[in-house]
Amino acid sequence: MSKDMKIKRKNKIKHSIPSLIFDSMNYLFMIIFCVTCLYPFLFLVSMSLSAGTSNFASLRLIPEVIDFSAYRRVLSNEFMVSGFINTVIRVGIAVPLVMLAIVFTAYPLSKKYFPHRGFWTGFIVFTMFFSGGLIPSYLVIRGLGLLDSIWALILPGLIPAYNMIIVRNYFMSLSPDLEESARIDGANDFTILIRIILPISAPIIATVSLWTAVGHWNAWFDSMIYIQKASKQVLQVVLRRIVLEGTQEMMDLNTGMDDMASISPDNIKAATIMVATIPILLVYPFVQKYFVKGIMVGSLKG
Amino acid sequence: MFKSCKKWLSMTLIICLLVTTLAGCKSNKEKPVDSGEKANTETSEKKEENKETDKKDPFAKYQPIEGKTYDIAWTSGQLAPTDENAEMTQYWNEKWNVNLDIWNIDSGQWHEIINLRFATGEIPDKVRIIGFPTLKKYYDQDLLAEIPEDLLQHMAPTLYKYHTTDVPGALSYGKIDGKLYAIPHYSISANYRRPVVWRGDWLENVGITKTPETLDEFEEAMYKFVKEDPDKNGKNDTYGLSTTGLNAVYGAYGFLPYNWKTRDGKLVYGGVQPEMKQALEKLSKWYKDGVIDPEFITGENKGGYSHISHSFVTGQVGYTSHGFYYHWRPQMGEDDKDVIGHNIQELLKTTPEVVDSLIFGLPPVGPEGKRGVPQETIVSGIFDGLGKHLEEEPDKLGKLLLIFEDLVANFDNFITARQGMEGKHWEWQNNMPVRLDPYTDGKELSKIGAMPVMTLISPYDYESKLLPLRIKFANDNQFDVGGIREELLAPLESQGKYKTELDKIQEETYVSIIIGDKPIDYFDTFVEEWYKSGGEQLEKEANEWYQSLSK
Repeated sequence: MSKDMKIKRKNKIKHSIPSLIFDSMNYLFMIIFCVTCLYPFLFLVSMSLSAGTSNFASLRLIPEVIDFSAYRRVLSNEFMVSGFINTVIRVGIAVPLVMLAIVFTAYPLSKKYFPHRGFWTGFIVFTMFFSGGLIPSYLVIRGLGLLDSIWALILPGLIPAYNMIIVRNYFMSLSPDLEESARIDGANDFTILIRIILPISAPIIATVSLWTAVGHWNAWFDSMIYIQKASKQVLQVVLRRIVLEGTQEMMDLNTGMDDMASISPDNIKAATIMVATIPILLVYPFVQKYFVKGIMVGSLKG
Repeated sequence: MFKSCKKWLSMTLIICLLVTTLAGCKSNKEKPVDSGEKANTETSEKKEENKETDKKDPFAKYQPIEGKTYDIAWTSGQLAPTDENAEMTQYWNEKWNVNLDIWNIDSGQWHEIINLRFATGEIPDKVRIIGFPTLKKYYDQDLLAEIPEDLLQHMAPTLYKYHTTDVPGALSYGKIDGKLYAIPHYSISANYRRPVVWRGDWLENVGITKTPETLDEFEEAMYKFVKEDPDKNGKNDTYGLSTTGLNAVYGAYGFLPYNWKTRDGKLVYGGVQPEMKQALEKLSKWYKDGVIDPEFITGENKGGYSHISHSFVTGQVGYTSHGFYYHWRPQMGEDDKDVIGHNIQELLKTTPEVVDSLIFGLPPVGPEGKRGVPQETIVSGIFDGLGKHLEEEPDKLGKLLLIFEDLVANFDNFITARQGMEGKHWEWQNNMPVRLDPYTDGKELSKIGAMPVMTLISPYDYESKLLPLRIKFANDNQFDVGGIREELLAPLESQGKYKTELDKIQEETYVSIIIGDKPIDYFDTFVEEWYKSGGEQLEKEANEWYQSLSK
């Protein structure tokens, strides 16, 4: 009996040394990985909370003194405020419209009996790989009189092909029986879509909405091209301008003037980045639970 | 399934390629038509009228029409977007009886956005041109109107006078085939070379009392900076010099590795001159002995404002040539309200005691009595041109030249264009114009439509009145002595074809010789290869340009 116990214990120890090493290594690497991901962010947080006179040439995580002056200055910057409002409006309008367009396109395309389904799908997928190019797009927007308007930022990307395909695939994975039984009960196509399909598609709707929101929140290039009035620029353009201040490429454009601009100190730049990032970051935890389920259905099905 | 997929893919690819090329062609051709045509019909009547007067006064047709309010589209440098109805824009609108339309173009993507607008047929009346190659490009794309030199002299005499007396011959940089297409900017700062900055306290700590003047003394100081613990912290953690510091060594041998320079009446490329081999030999020895900061490959600036040398400010090296003279200017008396040098600001944050010990020296003299660090070219590479469509509207072209003239006609106009209204945006204090808060920030000035939105050239005369302390600092510390300038001021025909590759092999060669990966003699192989891979062609073109200049 006691012999058996001894042997067992021995076996146990023998067995667990490699696994212990494996586990500890695993944890170690995971921690290192997390730290490398988190460190730059924490560095920015601490920089944004520092006074302008702090020196950040060396690495550090805890500010010398906690100081909110950078945030005060950033939030009183008129361009930041107008940019923030413009971006919120943009996301607020874009997400519902894009989702509506996606659902209304994806649902018919998910039906096997939809005439010329292959053609229409291909037609939309085509735009995923090829676009008209910058100059023609600009000409179209200008021709439609959309310059300086928020619609120039929303309408061109109203149906993102990739997201539409993902939603379509999700719809296709739903059992056709559901639809049939509803039809027997006398429901028409709209009722089926709204009362039956959408409620069970919450994960994919949530995921794609988040993608759309993040995409619109982060977009800057379209705004820089189509919006020429400073007061209508979105947040990311303002952010970019502040962060790029004083770098070589900006200097080249204003030779002889470079020392005249007071360059925003690093803590202001960091606070600007925080203000532009945190709001969208806050959305993630709420949609987290749908996320995994939503992304699983990725591939393009015939 | 797979096969048909492949076929389908390749077909679409081909179609798309075709479509994109076609689209590209079309947009290229479309450009100048619409604005030109419009102008044509508008002015054809006037042209007839002008024909008679032409004979008497060749400039009569350029007189702006009395009482007409011109719409003027204006592109320029900006530190921040200009407000709609900005204060200074209103001021000029009233003064000149015009409607200024200032284009807000994000500086981060300047070329991309401006090219897009050109391509779609939008051409401003005043065209800001950034970079020598850009001037040639705009000319090739037929975007620029000719500004006849005698017309410029007639309509904008003060501008012309300053330009030709401050920087004689500089107008020729705005000329293509002998015709003037753009007015080159220049600045008094171009008279001063890059700084030569020593840590005075380090020199003292290693027992050097005289600021090094020759290359030998320079070398001695560099070795002592490494070996004798100049910062007295008991650790072997200092280097002599880093990236920009190397320039003084190249300069001591008479050339800079990336500059064209005259030699026996010909333009030659500095990087392939035999003197550079000697310089590299010295540098590779220094590197081996630990004198050169190994981070020299990535540069002295570690992010943020690009003219700050972090290597120097953090006490890693004791010598630098980073930034410009005004980035090193300390506070000069209590009345000094000008911007303090950014490196000094940085030092004040961490080690304020170092500021007073800084020594601004001269570039070291080499074995053959040569010396030098880089200096800006006399014209900065920024130009102001006029849109092509103005050739059809001579009265508007004349109006713009009158505006150019007015901006530099006297010091009052100059300073108003630069920093706004006296008493509101700036005021005189001790004979110095001092900008008032918040207009000390150039971005605020850009918002109200002042500098650099409305600035053209900066005559030396005005600039020394505007920034007297800065210029005193530069003169007192002999920043006007020992600079080497780039002498090739035009894009070369084959530059696009060869330059990237040539720069790459040069960079590789220089770095690998310095860090000892390649022997010194590899330099000869490099020179041969440089000439073979297009250098010869570039040298030929550079000299063709050089000859055309002296004609």
